[in-house]
Order: sequence, then structure tokens, then C-alpha cells
Amino acid sequence: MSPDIKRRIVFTILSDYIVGEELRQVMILWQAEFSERSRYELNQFLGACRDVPGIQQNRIEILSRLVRMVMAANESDLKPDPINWMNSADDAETSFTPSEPVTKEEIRRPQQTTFRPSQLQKTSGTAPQNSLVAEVVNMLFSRLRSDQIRSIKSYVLSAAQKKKLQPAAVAMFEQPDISVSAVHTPLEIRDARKLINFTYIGCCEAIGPVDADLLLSKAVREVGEKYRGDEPYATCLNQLLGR
Amino acid sequence: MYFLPAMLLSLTIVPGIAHADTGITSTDIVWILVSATLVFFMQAGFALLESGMSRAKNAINVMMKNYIDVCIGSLLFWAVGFGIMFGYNPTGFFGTTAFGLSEGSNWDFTFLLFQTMFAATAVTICSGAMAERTRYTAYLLSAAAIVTFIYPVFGSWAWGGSYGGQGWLAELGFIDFAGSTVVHSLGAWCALAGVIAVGARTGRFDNSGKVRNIPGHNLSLVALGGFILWFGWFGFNGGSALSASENIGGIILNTHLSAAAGAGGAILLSALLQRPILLTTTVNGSLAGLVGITAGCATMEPPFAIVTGAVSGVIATLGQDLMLRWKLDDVVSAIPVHGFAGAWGTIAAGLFFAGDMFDAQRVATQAIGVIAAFLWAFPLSLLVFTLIRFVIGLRSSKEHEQMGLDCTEHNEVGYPEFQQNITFRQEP
Repeated sequence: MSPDIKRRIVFTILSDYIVGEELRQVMILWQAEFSERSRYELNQFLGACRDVPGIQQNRIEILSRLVRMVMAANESDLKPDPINWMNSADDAETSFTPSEPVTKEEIRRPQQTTFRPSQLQKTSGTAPQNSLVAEVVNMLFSRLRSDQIRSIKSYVLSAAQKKKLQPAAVAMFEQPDISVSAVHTPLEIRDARKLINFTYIGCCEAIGPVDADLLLSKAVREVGEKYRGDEPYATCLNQLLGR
Repeated sequence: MYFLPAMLLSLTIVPGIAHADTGITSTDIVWILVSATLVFFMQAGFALLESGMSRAKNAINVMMKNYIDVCIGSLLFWAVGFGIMFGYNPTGFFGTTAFGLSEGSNWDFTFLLFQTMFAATAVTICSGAMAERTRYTAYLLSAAAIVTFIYPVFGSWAWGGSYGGQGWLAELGFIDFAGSTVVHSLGAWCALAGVIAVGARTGRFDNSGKVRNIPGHNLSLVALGGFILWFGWFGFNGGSALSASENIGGIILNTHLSAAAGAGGAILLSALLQRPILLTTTVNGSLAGLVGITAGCATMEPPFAIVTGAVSGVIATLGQDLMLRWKLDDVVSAIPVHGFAGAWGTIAAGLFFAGDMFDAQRVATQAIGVIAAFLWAFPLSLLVFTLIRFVIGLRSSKEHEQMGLDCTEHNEVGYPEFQQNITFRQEP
């Protein structure tokens, strides 16, 4: 079986479970470490992705589908080769380079290594508070399981609508990934703050208040360190936290 | 700070002159006043214990509730509660005189002060159980209802009739020397109603009902609060003799032994169940021992005080598990400590009555008192909390709960240096 067919098989199956940057990172890992190996080592590949919730929770089903498709692949059922998409990264750190294989550690925190609100602002004029909310929330979500993320997003959406937050705030959480790309209106600081708080409340329900405290504290600290001395982000973050 | 030693010294220099009509000596009055100050100091113990078992973002709120309990409790008990509890009681169900006492003997004022401290204690039991998610104003209203009506009415059944008449439970022969049931169980049953009405803290139980631990922010405060309560309890039980009589030594010895045995019982049970021996469990065990012996500290021999205390510690520890199994979120385990151990202590006072132990009639009377306390306090306080819930709202919003009640209710933060990344301040 040719490498591109194997890649299309893996991509086709995995895309039913994970999407976006998470999927790309996993595909890069597969390409770097497992594409040359025997098809019987698929289980090891899935084991290497144990920190990706969408894979971990469906590991047996994914393995079963992969094995079946590898044994009897029908090209017409496969999605197009994702190699160009994998190489189209706008970040040298995460783009596919065979000489610098992606480590498992990077796979564990896919969103942390790729989300760059400052860059977004330059390219699309996103307001700092929009980017900061998205970044804090994504950092929280990067440490949660997909079912937990779903329940938190559901809570945030219902709370945001109940409290009549501006439509842009609601729209941010209606996306599959928390993203500023679909939100062009600057969030009011009050609404941005409420979005973080609602997310935090959702985290408390999902993982308990103690772990939620730790997660939020860590997320805010990491974002704060990232933007230390970077105006207007640092000021905006302080406003969001009411400092 | 010299008040307490000076009063104790005065015991040795003030002659015990009996008043011609009552037989009350100055020494008696001084002893009751010392006891009242000790019971007052228990409020500090409760405040430290409850605050330490709560999260840092609610420390001020818990302190405020304990502080205001004394204020509201004292004023309302003077105005209404004392009259209902100790006024002339012709029916056996409530007092009808001595409201807003402004004229009376020195003894009247001394007794009023001492009983005011008891009332404040009964009220403050709710604050710990319902901590971290109850609105401040709603709590104050419930505290007012308890101190003006729920507590004094039941108190009149067991202790009433200081100005004539007698409570119906007292007539039956119900023994509750210092208030295992009258003060502690009653407060706990009110707390149970409050905990049910207000619901668990956000995230305390997951979707499958599994318990998530929410540790308190300062266990040193918990231990200090435990020590202060233990110290104050010497006045609580010793003062309930209502005279500087010779049996005070035995009462306080029983109190002390039971507290020690309560901690021992809790530790032993933890060891037997192969659980870690926690500070909170140990402190709560000793407090359960203190609650348990309160009813029978004057009528029990020391070995049975130890048994009472040890069993109280075990009951309080098992009671915590039971509460969690029922999905009831009692932040400081007030209900097992004050309610379950108080009920057991009241029964034990009948079982281990010195000179006439295991008298079935007496035990039955004690059981009637325990059941009456529950049937009076629980439904009524549940009604009060439910009314508050629907009229002004009992529970803080989830948003406020996660910000912490310190800033949302009081606009203050207990530990500003440590909470910046965790809580969000109130809207400007």
C-alpha cells in the first residue's frame, strides 16, 4: 500500500473524531513517526495519541475502523490526501518537517502551540479582548475532554443568552472551536469578562471547583506571561480580571 | 484582656453572700458571667473553624455571618426570644412574659446574658453548613427567624418557666443539662433544612453523583477554632449549673474527657476503615464529643462521659459519609457533629444517668425530646428557608458563587494577594 493511501486512510478515519488543528497535529505525528511502520503498529500510533481526548475515548472503534480499511481500502471512500494541508502551517514550529519530527509533548497541547492572538490582530484587526477571551478559553479547553468541552460550551451559550450578552459573545461559542475568526465586533469588556466567568462556572460543574480554580489560574498566568509588556493586551487582560 | 483573670480572681475575694430571697450568691453571678464570656468566645471558635473549612474567596463572608449572628441574635433574643423561652409558661409550650427585659434583679440580667450567648450559638450552626453559596441577606432573615421563634419555642418546652410554669418536655422528665438537643441538635436540624433548600455548592457532585472534594483554605484556623470551642465549652456546660456549685469540677471534667474521647473515636474509626486520619475529622470528632456530653455532663460518671464522647466521634464521622451519600453539602459537617451527635448525647444522658442507668422510661423520654426537636425545627425551618428562597432568593447566583461571596456580598477580599487569578471582582 502506498504511503499516500495510508495517509488518506488515517486522515479519513480520524477526521470523524477530531478536527482542525488537533487533527493536523495528529496527522503530523503519524507522518513523522508511524507512516513508515507496519500497518500492525496502528495501535501504537493510537497509544501515542492517548492525550487527545477524541482519540482516547474512541480508541477501540478507531482501531477497528482503521484495520478494516487498511485491509480493504476503497479509494473512492477516502478523503483527499491531506499532505498539502499538513504542510500549509503558518508556523514553523508546527509545520511538517521530516527532519524535525513533532514530539508527543506537542501533541498533548495542540492548542497552546498554535493559537496566536497577536498575529490574529495584525491580520484581521481583532480586538484584544476577543483574542484574550478566546485564548484563555482555549487554554482551559486544551486540558479537558471533548465531552466536558461540549457541556461547558452548552452552559456558556445558555448563560450568555439568558444574560443577554451581545451577539458577538454568543457567536464566539457557537463555533466548533472557540475562535475569533467569526467574530468581527469587539466584545464589551463586561461581556468578555462574563464569558470567562461562565466558562469557569462550566468548568466547576464539569471537573469540580478545585481543579477549575487551578486550570483557570494556570491559563490566566500563561496568557499574562505571554503578553507581559505587550500593550494593549496586558492592559486588556487586567481589565478582564478586574485588576 | 484582663477581664477574664480579674473575674476569676474575684471569685476568691468576693464573699458568697446569698440573697435573702433567692439563695443566689455573688459568686454564682460571677461564675455565670465568666461562663457567658466563655460561651461568647465560642463564636470566635465557630468563625475560625467555619472560615478555615471554606475556600479563601468566602472567608470574609463566613466571618461576617458569625459576627452578625451575635449582633442579631443578642438583640432579637433580648427583645423576643428570652420571653418566649423563659417567660411565664402556663401552657408548657411558650413563655408569655419577660420580653425586652428592662427591669429585673441582678440575677435576671445575668441569666439573660448567659442565655443570649446560647441563642447565638444555636443560630450560628447554620452558617457553617450553608457556607459558600447562601446570600447574606437571606441568611440574616433565617437567623432572625430561628433566634426569635424556632429556638426559643423549643427551649421553652425543655427549659422554660423561669418566671412560672413549666415546659411540657421538662414535665416529662426530659434531661438536657446544657443543650445537646435544645441548642445543638435544634441548630443542626435548621441547618439540615437550609442545606436542602439552598442545594450543594457548584461542582460538589459530578453528574454521576460522585463527590468532589473541596478542601478548606486554612486548616490551621480549623484547629485553632477547635481549641477555642473546646475552651469555651467549659463555660457552656459549667455555666449551665447556674451556680458556682461544687459539681462544676465534675461537669467540666466530663466535658473535657468526652471531647478527647470524641477525637479518639473519630481517629480510631478512620484507622479501622483504613482512611487517612484527617485534621478536620479529628477536630470534628472532638466537637462531636463536646456536643454529645452537653446533655448529660452533670448526671454522668466520667467513664460514661468517655463512652458518650467516643461514640459521638464515631457517629459524627459516619454521619459525614451519610450526608454525602444523600448528596447533602454541609461545608463544615455541622449536621453530623451537632445534630447526630447531639441526638445520641441526649439519649446517652438517659442511658448513663448516674445511679439509675439504662432506665427504659428515662431513655424513652429522652427519645421523645430528640424526636420533638426534629419535628419542630426541621419542617418549620424548611418552610422559612423555602419562603425566603421564593420571596428574596436564598442562593447566590453561580456567577457570584464562583467570584466568591467576599467580593460579591461585601466588596472585600480576604486574601487579595492570592486570589487575583482565580476570582473576578464585582462590576465597577
